[in-house]
Amino acid sequence: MSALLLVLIAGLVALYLTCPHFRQVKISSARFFEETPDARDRTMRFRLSNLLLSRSFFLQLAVFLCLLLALLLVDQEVASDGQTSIGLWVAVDASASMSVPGQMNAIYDETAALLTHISSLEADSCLTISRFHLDNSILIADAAPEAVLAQVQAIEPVALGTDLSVIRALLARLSSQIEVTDCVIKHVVVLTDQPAPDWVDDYDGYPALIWRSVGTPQPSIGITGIRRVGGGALGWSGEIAVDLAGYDRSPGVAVELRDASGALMASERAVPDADDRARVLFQLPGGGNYTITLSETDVYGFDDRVMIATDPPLQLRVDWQLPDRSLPDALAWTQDSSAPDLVVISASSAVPEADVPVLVVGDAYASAVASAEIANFDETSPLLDGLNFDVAERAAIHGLTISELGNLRPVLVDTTDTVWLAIADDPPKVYVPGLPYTGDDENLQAFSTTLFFNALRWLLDRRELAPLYTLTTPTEPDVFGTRIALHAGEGNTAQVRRSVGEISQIDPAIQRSESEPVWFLPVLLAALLLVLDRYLSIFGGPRWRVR
Amino acid sequence: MFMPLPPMDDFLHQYRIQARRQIRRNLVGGHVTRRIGQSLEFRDYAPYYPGEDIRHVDWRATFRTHGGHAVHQSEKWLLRRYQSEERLQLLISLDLRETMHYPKQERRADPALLHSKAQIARWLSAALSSIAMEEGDMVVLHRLFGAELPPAEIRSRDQIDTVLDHLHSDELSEHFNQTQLESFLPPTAAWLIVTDFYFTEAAALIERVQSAPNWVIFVELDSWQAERAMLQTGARLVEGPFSAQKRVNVTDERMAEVEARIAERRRMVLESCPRADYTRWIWPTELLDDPIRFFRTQFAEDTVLQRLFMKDA
Repeated sequence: MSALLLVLIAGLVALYLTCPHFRQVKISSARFFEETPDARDRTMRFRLSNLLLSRSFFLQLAVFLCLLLALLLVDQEVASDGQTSIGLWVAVDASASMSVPGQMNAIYDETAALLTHISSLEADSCLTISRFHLDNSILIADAAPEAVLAQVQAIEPVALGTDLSVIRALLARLSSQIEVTDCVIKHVVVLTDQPAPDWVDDYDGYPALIWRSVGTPQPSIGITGIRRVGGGALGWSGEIAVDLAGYDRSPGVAVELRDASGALMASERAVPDADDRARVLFQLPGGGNYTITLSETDVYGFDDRVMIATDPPLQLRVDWQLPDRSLPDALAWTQDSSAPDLVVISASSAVPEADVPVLVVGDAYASAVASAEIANFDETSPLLDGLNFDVAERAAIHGLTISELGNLRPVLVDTTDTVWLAIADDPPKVYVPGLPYTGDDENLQAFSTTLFFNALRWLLDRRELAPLYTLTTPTEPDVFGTRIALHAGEGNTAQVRRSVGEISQIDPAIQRSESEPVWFLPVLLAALLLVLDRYLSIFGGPRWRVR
Repeated sequence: MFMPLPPMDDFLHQYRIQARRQIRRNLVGGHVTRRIGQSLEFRDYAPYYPGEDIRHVDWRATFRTHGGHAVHQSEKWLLRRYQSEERLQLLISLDLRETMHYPKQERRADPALLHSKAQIARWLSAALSSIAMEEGDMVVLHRLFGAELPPAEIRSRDQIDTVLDHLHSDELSEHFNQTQLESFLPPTAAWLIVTDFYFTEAAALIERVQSAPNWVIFVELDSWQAERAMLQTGARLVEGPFSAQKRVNVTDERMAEVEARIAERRRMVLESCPRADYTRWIWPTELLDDPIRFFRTQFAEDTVLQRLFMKDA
């Protein structure tokens, strides 16, 4: 950019020299110039005599030079004599993991040490205290040290996870904030049980960051997640998996399932793997609320006992409209035409208007139809997972013509524009060539069965099942019913502490001084010179326009 | 727009006395001479100024008016003036075209045309009129070109600026104004033509000067040197009265050519009027810083104009 401006200035000077400035002169003897040849030379003349070195020209040149200087200094900053006072922001971790006994005491001790250090500096100081977990909220701002300790002591952990990105957002906000108060934050101190993330090592911004990972790592076991397992295309059977993790200890505990009344229904022993993780499966008899607890409690309680809820029924309800009922009987599907989870119809039947997944089944894999090669297919479609296309091309598939698709869109098309597989999104609908083949051709059996159950799975996956539980949020931070605090990583009470920076770094003598950009000074000077030039050109008389 | 002649009675009186002390010699052509007639008729008294003929002091009138101690105070002497001195009729033709309104200097505190040839011409007219009227002569002012205004006689010194303002007009014509000129130009009148020679319609004027038996004096107000200094060198857009804008590369060579054209114009007029006297007031190369001083200097050093008030040999 500087080079561009230099070129522009050089061009301006060249223009001054090459294009003579015809200064106007009014004289009484003008009529005697009629016979003088006109100044119409075409040659380029680079003579300084053509340059109108008027006062105005020099002022304008000074304006350009100031702008160029501003460009050259755009990245330069000068250290200003910053305030010698101490501006401190203390962010205290108040997430669920801080409920481990001793953690908040460690926070209090660290804060006391911080205040002791500040008072020893005998400098003016102002502190802001905030509490963070999934967000960061100020508890007290611009406070004197005396008020800080009581405020920190009053902080109670909340059943929420920890989002360390709020610290980065805080630093970004403080570095760009225009000073509107007397408390200028020069240091941010984070008090947490979390180890300092890697980006803290590379941080060299303003304000300075001190990460104090406090507290004592302690072993614990906890539930990390609960989910439905099994079923899927065949309908959820009611089985759940409870995942556990051990932190600095084996998760080999008993996991108990209790019903809504608290009666013990089942108990399973968790078998840990090499990573100190375990999984326990339970078969829920039906819908309702269940409580899952560990047989042993430890320092961190939010992951030792959780409540879930499920909706009955557990079996798949299907409105099967095909004459061949061998498949639904084999899968033990419940025939229900009033409130089905799935409707299965033939390609010649009318599509029901209800907002329910529909499986459209074509006329078997007819051998009377000539086989055809595949012309086009949607390579991203999950319906094609695991399919052998060579088998398909030999299968003589009797598909739909383009005109018969309706709102379906092709997924698999042959060279005769016959659609072998098609889907629609809303409501979910899939066309398959036929039911799983039961003849002698094993390849065709595998192909048709895979295709059928791919379609089934795709349709049933679009059912929205109620979650087994929800997590606490900043707006609803309390554990209540199926609102639990199973936030990822929060139960790891055995993390190795890692701090970056020391409290002793907080010192007005060595604190990083503020720096200010300097580019605006030459810009300001250029603006003043320009105003002066224009003023003198208007009111200063002709001597400001002539040599 | 113009500034009246500043008060300079002492200067003008000294000028008149100085001129009266000199003898006019080698005069060419018909002109009025100033004689002291044999039969002197008393006209009036006038204050005595140093240098005047002391024989004309009327001591009785002086003592009667100012007392006996006045003999030691020359400023109180009374001088007798006589009727029979022949009056000079002076016709001053002023070139008031637009070229005479140059050079122009833009100084906020000064009148717009204070530094122009027209201003000097006005002061010259006023000074000559004042001196002539002091001598008891008749003064007529005339606009040389443009509006067809008849000449106007000055009857008192207070009328000078009024008449000069009357002669100014916005008409741009360069036509020689001969309206009633004959009436105010008897053969014995002295005809003073104040111009810059930048006119084009010279034929009528030359013809009239050639045919006039009068004593004709051309006073040229030459501002070329000052305008040359304004041009300097380089690319210029030259503008002026009676000419279109012209882009010119000003060089010494080009300016020598222009100066030659001006000199040729001057030469043409003067050679056509061989019997006319000629004097030239040349502007300095710097724009006039003190126009009044310039006028006084030029006026005091101009020996041609002094002849108007000299005694005959």
